[in-house]
Amino acid sequence: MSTKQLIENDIDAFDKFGSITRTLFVIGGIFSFISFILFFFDTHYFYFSYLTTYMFFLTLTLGAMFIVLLQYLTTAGWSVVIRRVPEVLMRNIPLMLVLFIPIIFGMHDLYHWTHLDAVAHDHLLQIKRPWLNQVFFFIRIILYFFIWSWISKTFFKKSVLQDETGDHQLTLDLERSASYSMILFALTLTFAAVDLVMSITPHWYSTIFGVYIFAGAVLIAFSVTSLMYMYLRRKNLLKDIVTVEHYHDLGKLIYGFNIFWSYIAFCQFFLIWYASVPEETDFYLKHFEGSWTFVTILLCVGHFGIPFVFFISRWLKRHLVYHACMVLWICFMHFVDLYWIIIPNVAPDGLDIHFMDITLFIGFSCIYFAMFFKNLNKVCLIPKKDPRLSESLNFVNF
Amino acid sequence: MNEILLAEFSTPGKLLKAAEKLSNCGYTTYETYSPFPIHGMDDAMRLKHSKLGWIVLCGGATGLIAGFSLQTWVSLHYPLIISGKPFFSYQAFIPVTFELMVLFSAFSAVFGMFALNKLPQHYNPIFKSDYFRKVTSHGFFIGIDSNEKGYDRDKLRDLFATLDVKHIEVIEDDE
Amino acid sequence: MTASTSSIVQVKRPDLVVPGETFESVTEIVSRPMEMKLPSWWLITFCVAVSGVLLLKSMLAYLIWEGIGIWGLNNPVGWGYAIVNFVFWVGIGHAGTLISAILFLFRQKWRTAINRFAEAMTIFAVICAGIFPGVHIGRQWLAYWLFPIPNSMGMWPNFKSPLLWDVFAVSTYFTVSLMFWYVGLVPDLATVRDRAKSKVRQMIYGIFSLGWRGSNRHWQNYEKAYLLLAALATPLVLSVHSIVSFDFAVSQLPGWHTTIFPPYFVAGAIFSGFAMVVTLMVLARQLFNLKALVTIGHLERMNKIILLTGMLVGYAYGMEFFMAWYSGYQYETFAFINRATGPYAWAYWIMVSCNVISPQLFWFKKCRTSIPIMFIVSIFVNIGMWFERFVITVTSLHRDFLPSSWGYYSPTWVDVCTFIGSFGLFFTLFLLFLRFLPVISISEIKNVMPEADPHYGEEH
Repeated sequence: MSTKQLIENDIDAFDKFGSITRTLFVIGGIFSFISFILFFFDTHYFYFSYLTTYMFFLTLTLGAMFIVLLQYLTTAGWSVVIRRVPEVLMRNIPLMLVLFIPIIFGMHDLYHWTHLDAVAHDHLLQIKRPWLNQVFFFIRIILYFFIWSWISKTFFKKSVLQDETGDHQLTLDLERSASYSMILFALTLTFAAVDLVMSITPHWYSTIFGVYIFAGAVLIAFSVTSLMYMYLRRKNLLKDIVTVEHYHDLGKLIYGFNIFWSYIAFCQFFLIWYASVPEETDFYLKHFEGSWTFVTILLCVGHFGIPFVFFISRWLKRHLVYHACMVLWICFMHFVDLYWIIIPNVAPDGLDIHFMDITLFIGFSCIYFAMFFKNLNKVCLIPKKDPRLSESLNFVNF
Repeated sequence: MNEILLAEFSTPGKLLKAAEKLSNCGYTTYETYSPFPIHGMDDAMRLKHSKLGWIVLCGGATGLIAGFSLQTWVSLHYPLIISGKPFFSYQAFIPVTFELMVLFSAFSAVFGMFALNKLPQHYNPIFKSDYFRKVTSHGFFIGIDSNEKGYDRDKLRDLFATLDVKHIEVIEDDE
Repeated sequence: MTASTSSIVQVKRPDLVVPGETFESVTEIVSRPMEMKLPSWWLITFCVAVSGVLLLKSMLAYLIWEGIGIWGLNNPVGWGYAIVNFVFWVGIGHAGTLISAILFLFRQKWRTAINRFAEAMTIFAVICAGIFPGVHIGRQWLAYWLFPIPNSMGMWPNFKSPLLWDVFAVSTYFTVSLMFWYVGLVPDLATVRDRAKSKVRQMIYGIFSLGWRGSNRHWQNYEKAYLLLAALATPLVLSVHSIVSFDFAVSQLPGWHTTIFPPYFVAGAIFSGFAMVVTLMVLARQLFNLKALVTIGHLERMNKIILLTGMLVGYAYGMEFFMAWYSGYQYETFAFINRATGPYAWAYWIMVSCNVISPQLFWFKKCRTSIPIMFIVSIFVNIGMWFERFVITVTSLHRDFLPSSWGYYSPTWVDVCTFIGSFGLFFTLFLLFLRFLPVISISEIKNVMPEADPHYGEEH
């Protein structure tokens, strides 16, 4: 492929997403309003439902950050043309901070350890008080968001700057800062997972939990990246730039991380199941209560089994329609995974899908992607002056 | 009596061009030889995809089923109560099932590859050429058997001459 | 670097092979150790290594004659050196599979210079590992009971036991690694066959190279098989050390039972394995003059992986401590405080300083590319990883739930000599490999040379 022809009309997508941004904002507004009304019907449940959706998008944003960091850390060449979408996705960190506000109001509903009268009679929670108390919790949340916005801002800014200047030094700088950013990322993600999700069941603990959330985060981020490029393709953008070779590789990574997620999920379950220590099994017992058993089986079959069997095929990874179906399915399964972790705490007797689960998710995702397209509007669709661009353009799988 | 026309080329690129040319002329059973796999040669020779994947899939499925049923049968046939778990504890069978699946898949990958390649095959007329010995170091060869349809020694010599051939040799197979 | 005006510029990737080498010279370089006159250092080290094997053999004979009592095991420490050494050696092996399979799937072409070497290490390390649980069973002559073989007593193994999973995991791992290694060797054995000057040599290498002749129809299936084996070996290598970690983690013992064990063990295994590869590669490239193929760049990349996996191990140490406190479970908390401050604190701090602190030197390019520093750090990591297994095994056991069942474990001279002897076995096999097989994968390294691209030289 000639490298000259790709430029201009295709990649400088300034203001191509104005209408979709507006549409998404409107739909998002409507659904958020509906959710807000539903809030008054079941306040307690609302917060859990909200946290589930929030975690879905937080993991997506952080997973996207991981993709960007990983690419610089490994000095990868093939993936340059698919870096812009994760870069813009991770720019939604400030949005995620704003959307954290409802969780602050719902602290009492979500986190049992905020009830000081209950803590006073609970030996374990008293031991955990130095960690699980509201002041320190907020300090940590601010710290996480500070680090995340710093990482996303640095990497986004320099990458966009390179579109103009073409300065190679920027790539080298980012490759250097990717190393320690990755360490910060790993630690903040782990503890955020502990704070936001694991502490809902404050007696329960699992050392692998951070890795579990991480695996899901990377999986969803790669899946959404693939979906977004397919959306751009439908809009006749980047058709000759992001080729089937890139989708094939994205498919391989999604496949690999799906197995990684399954491995981590299995290890966590298996060790707890085998040892049967009361403090730990409590978490899993909830998931075999009533119709939750069905969701557990759905996760095993749907999150692991179906993608494992179908996505192994090279042909399917390269067939964009099937690829899109499989990726959408994985996104759905990631949501089910988070739902399965969080919701049994509020609906212990069995699966009980509320209308607000759906409206919240739609509202949230519309606003999230509206912001995404709003940011995408301002930048090039590929890092057009990245020094490794030609490697990525000419990339072929073996 | 059969014979093999052996032509040597100096680089992978020239070998690839020669193979393309032969395919375009309608030759199908000729063979190229190189010290390492050459990117694009399968397409140049118009080869179909390898069937090995399907063989491995079958092997893996066999291992999976065999492993799981062995453990199930043993646990029911020779029941032991271990840490209060039921006799049929499928969770505990997953590690061994997985290992046997991988083991059987790997066996079918290796022996399937040998079978598809008809290896070991210690006799081949092409080994008679001393010149051919460098194929495993830095030689790039094309061999055409006289059974090939449209085989004509002189015509092929002329064809190869246009393709920047380095050396041509005829090997006789007296079997 | 200055700002560039042209929109598409390629950042130069480092050369994988020193420029100027040709296909023929690569064959020469790799074949030289097999064809040169036997060097005297080889003979000397081989004699030392073989005496190690004799030591191992006599220790094992003594063990079988006398019984496990000659080891330092006691109550409560029922698992000692044997398990530590087993996990240590299996871990060493993991680097080989990582390099040959995982880096292959990630298209890390630099792996071609070191994969053969590391895979050989895998196989020899797994052999060494297999010995320890094999002799630990007490009645060694009944070792075949480990396998599900029909017998007249109608007895079957217990498939719910992690120790039995180990039998399957380690033997599968050994078999698959051996096949993977052999498949990779076939084209290179043919190279040695075709270069052979003597009839005997030609015969022996000829038999093992199966009549390989570099035919493209063969290469097609061969490459497919290689890809599939890599795809199979990747989850396999994860599963093997995970299952090894299950030996500990399915129990209820504080210090053993923690959910991060499987990935943490895998990371540690790769960490220790890479350290061993660096240790041996630094020596081998010097002694056999392989510097054109194994460059400082290769070693630097391995050191980066050591740094990365060292951090992962550090993360796991940290998480274990955090969760031990966070759990609020007093035995859990005690187990970890006891690790850091109890009678085995010396072992714990050796582990931390070797595994977490010493690799930090690799943040600096100067250290990553300095042969003496990387050699020393890699040795430290080897020591540290041995101590990690020692800390996990012994410190978790030696203070049981009740203070009345507390004890202290020290190895006997038999324990130590068996361990030293296992190094003898490892090095004996390794020296034989260095002398009689191609140390670097000839066909694969040629494949990543720029000249191997059929379009090489067209644009210039």
